Amino acid sequence: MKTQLKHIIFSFFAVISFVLHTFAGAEKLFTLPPGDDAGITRINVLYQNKKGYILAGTNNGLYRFDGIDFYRYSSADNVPEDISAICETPSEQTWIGFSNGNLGVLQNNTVRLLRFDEGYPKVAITKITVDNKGLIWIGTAGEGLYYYNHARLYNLNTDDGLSDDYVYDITTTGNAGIIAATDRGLNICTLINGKKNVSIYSSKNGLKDNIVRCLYTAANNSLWLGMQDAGFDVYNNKFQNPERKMIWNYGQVNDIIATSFQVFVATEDNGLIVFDHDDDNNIFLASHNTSQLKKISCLLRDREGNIWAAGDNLLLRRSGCSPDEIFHPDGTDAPNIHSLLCAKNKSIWFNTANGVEQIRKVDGVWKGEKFDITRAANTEISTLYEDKYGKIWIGTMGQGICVLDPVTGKKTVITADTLLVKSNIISITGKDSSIWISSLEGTVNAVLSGNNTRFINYMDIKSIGSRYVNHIFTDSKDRVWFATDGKGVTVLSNGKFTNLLQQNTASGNVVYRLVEDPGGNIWYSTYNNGLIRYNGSSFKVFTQQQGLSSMNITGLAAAGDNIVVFHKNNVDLIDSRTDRFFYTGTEQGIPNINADLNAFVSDDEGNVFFAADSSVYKFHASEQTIIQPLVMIDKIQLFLNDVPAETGHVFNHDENNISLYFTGLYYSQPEKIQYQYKLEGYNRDWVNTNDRVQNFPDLPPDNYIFKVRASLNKNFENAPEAAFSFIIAKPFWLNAWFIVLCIVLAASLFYFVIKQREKNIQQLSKLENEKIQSQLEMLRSQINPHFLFNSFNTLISEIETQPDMAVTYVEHMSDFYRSIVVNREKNLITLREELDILNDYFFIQQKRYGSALHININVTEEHSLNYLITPLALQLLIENAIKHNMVSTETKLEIKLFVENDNYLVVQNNINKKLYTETGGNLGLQNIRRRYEILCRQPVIIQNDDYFFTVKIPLIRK
Amino acid sequence: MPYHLKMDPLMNQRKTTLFFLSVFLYISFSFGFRQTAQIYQASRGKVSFKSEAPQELINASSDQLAGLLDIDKKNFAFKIYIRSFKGFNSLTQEIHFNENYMESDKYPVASFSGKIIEDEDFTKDGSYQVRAKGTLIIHGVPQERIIKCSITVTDKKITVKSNFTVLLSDHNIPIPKLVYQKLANEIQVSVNATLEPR
Repeated sequence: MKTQLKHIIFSFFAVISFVLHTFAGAEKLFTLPPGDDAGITRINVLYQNKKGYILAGTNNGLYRFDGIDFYRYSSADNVPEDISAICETPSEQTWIGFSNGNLGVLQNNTVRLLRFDEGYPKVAITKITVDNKGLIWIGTAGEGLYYYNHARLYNLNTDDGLSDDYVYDITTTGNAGIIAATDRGLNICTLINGKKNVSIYSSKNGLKDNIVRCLYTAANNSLWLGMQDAGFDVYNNKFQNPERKMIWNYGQVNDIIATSFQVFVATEDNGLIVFDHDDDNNIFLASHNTSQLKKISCLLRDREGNIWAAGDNLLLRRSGCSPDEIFHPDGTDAPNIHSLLCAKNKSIWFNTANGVEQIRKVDGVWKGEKFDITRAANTEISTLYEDKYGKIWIGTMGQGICVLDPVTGKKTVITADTLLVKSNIISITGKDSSIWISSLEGTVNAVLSGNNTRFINYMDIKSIGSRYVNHIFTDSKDRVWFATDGKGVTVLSNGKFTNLLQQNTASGNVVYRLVEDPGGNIWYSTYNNGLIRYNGSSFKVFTQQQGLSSMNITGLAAAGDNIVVFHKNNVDLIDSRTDRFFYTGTEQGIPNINADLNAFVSDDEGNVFFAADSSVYKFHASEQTIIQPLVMIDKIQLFLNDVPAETGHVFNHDENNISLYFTGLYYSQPEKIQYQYKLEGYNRDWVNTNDRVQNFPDLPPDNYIFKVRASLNKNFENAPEAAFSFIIAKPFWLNAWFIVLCIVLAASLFYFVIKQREKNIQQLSKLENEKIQSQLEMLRSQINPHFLFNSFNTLISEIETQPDMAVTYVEHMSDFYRSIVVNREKNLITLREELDILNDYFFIQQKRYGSALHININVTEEHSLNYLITPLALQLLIENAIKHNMVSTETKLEIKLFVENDNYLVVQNNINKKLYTETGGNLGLQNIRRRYEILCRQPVIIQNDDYFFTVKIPLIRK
Repeated sequence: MPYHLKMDPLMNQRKTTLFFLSVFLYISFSFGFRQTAQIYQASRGKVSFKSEAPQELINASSDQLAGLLDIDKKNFAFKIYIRSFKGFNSLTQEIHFNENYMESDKYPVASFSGKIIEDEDFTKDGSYQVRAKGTLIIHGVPQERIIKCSITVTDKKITVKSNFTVLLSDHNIPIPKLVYQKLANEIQVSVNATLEPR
């Protein structure tokens, strides 16, 4: 580890020529694109809304700036283009004022006109602002002020006591009400119970110029004002103004912004001029004058502290956190500064070619005083320390320590401690009477008591742990911390040394520098082990993973709550309360920083001093509030077309190609922003991206939450998030109700089919039953002894009278019986077949009754072939007719058989009722009826009047 | 409670009358000396109002609007007697209007006086869209208002037309809960007056 130390010491002597850095490094210029008519787009007003966007009102509409690109909002019809004022109202509406007096509002990324019963002013709107009571005030160029209350516009002009109707600017005051700047001084306007009160403050009261063009209320309620000819001025919160003489050569002031230590003045012809001021509002000489932009019309201080200045189509960013060069050597032969000291009287000490120089700010100007120490110690100075008596201890390489009394100029080389004689001093630090000296020869504790100084030498490795100590730090609890070169950190507390050897990596345990934050935590920088915070019990390591911009740490300082980590040409700030990082680099004007161990000091006002080449820089590091980037989802696209979707939007199942546009806002270094997104319901883990749009081309129906977060480093822990939740609806055929409906329908259909089948089976079996019964009936009636007996008697008489006919008769009988046997199993036969059977049967009966029985069949061939009938039905009906009626020559039985309406076969006979009827009467007819009930829907119709007995049998089409 | 509610109604009325007198006197004086025809007077202007409540539409008008306009200073003062409103749907409605809502005996006059914001030259013929800023006193309650109106100047005659709304709640005109359905809070008023040099 000794080589490591040597390397550092050698860097003390290295002479490197650096290019001198100018302030231009802290500024960046952006150009607004030309408008549609290719004319120049001029910025009239800048505003940062609550979401974080910087809005620019131009002569060509409203623009949004994200740090990289400009986006122009669309305008509704009849909306003027020349915007002169922007303000966000308490209800988070963005109001727009136009140069023609109209007032508008930004809605759904479109500028629309606002409507008032009272009409618009007829002159330009110069300013819109909201007072502490939430009242919206509108300044006009010629009609005084308007205020908006309970949906009405009210006017306040010279008739109400305003000194002039031309209002340039309005600002809120700490109390209620506003201050308006006019051509005739300031007007303090309040509303008390709806009554207007105006008190005028003009040149009569001591105002330096009656034409006040701009106002700014600072955080401490000081009122800053910029005037036409008299430059700018400031009044404190009690409206007091210290006597000051300012010679102003910069012309008209267009805008003004003040921070706690600087004031930025925008001029019409002389660009941006920056002045320093102190807590009592004493203003010092201009510390800066930009040359990049001559005409500046408006200013803005964003939430990160950057100052934005706009003139014409140019937008300039000046870092709110940039170092100031407070000492620049006169000659070119000045050595590099490698040792800095901040004394109790706020003077800064550093090494020169032949001694040390002290610079002090007198009336805002740094003035120097040189001390030659060549006679006392002619060598390189490595470290400087101021003891409690105000004496400066100068540590050298090889010449020990020389103590300088700045009052008398007396120089004394320490010889009381033999170890320190001709020693190589690395660091001198201390607190009160206890001074700690680290040298290559060993560590020495010098204790001051009056004119005597007691020296205690620590040569023993066992105590501190290492003979080589880079830095010794006495904390607020009087514990002494040793940054060793290879053995980590050792702490001396209550006379006891404890080594905290917690790092054990290949890089070794080299510790460079120690600081303490207001919370009492000890922070120390290491060689290749990053930055470490020790809270008394545990260590937290900051590497690039936690946000450190580089592992190469050259210096460390504490400024207020911020820990300042120096690298070669950039500086990280860490908020010790939140562990959040802020980065500055060459864009913020950070030069190439000298890497020497003792070239970093901080004062108790939050300033940090460092050296670059032979120059000294001051960096107001505690002023910087460290914030994270903002992240928001700007726009949703469906199939690459914009849709006005709010979070929670429900898309149709086929609206599943969704693009989400998001923006991270970090105006200081927009290019540093990295994103992670996750679509909950789709992505399991966060996905890294540098794009600002994410497309999901084919999302299945589900509930989704798109989350995006932005960080300036690899550490996304506690990074701000933006979310957009949406639903892709299921198609109706995947909905539960539809599926249930389908199941119910299918089940009922299945049930119906089963039932039908069951019914059919039942009907079939019934039919079968009926058929068997009918056959039985048929056989019983046909084998009825009467029929046979009658038939045989007829046959005998035929044989006797007409033997030839007897043969025919027997043939018919035989046919008839065969038909019965053949057709008895069938449900239906054609009408033709039935008529054939009937024919056989009728022939047999005809032989018996002769002309007393007559049948008239009127059925066409077409009907008989195409229609079906249940077998033996006609035979049964004829048989019934014969059975129930008297058949004689006096009472003839006339039977008609014909087709009615193509759907009924009608069997009709006249009635001559027998006095005595054979038993077993209606069985046949009932049988036919039941068979037809089963076979078809149409019933068998039976009509029985006094003259005709009619049976209509349904005909079934083949 | 606003301060005017605590005032004695009679006092209030007197104050209103006094205010008017002073405005009239002021305008009269400022012109009396000049003897130039800068003051225009309306003796019979028309005012009508409409209340479109869910249950009942009240529509009444009066042609007894009196007013003065100083075209040089842009000052104006108009007044009308509440009792002069006629044309109600029924006598009951008219009685309700005068006695229950407007309390016409206590506050017999409604007025609007103030100054025109725009600096237009009304000596020249033409049509002007202007805004009149002034105090509207109805039911004894003053309200500052900006009222849009169109002014037409033709051959030394000035025609003033305006449509605006009056909120009953602004003028402390009570609406009993029972008749809430009969009387809208927002009353639409239209004015049409012709002024001639005095």
